[in-house]
Amino acid sequence: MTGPRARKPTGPRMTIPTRLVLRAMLAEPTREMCGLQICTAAGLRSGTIHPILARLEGLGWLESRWEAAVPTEEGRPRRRYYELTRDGAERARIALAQATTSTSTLDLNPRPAGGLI
Amino acid sequence: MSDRSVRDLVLDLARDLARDLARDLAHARDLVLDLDLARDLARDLAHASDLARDLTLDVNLARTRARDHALYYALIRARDLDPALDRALDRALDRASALDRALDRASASALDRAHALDRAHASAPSSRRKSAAVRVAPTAGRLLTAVTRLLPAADRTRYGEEFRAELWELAHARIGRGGQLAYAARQVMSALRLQAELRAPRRRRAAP
Repeated sequence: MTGPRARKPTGPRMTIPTRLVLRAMLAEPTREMCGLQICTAAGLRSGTIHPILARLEGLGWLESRWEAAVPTEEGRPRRRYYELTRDGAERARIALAQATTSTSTLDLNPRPAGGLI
Repeated sequence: MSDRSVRDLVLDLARDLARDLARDLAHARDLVLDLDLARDLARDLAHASDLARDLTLDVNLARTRARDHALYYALIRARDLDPALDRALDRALDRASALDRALDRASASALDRAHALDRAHASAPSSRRKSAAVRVAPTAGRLLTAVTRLLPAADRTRYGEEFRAELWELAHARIGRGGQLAYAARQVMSALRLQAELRAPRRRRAAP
């Protein structure tokens, strides 16, 4: 008889878009990127990554902040920047390595960035 | 045969003859009365025929008069309507002319304003021109507002601002209305997933 399976605190479900996002952010772990820049780097369509970013942020793998000051001559809304935490970057590398060994046949190379949409 | 017997016989014959004559006379009188009645009847019939012919003529005449009467009043009404229609047409033409002049003035004014805007745009600093050229699709903005309403109250302001910033970036990158709408549509489609992630118990509270 086995008892109820303990649910260990694991990382995010490593879906292909999640892996693409992590891989894009690990390419330059110290660089802050806004949502559209992450989309472009990951080769994903804009408007699809906020659930992934929210999950990673909720787990503490990412942190985000508003940009400090928008140049007035730009006349644009301020951006939200995302960055891997130190712990998040380490966990992301491990999770990606594990996912890659189990699905080595998948092509996770990001698509060539074809623009913002 | 004796003389007395002959005389009696003649008397009887004469008596019978007289009785027959009296009866024939009565019959003749009856015939005369019948003839009078027949003549009266024939006269009445002729009179009735005359009356019927006159009645037919009267009906035809009445019909003709009724038609003439209707035609007459129709002509009168048409004559009354004609000036009214003329006046209405005149008023409509006056209004059309006034509208035409107003449109001319509005068109000239719009053209002047467009030229003034062109001149102002040409004299504005380049950075300002760049900002003014950003055309955010209003429908996409409304969709994003709807998406933020699906999110937990604590996260609405942050994601609303973040979505608007991304939409602005798309517009700034010359992504057209269709592309902006596609972006907003994808946010709509992933709204429930984002909502679930933001409500997850494991979630740390992110910076607002």
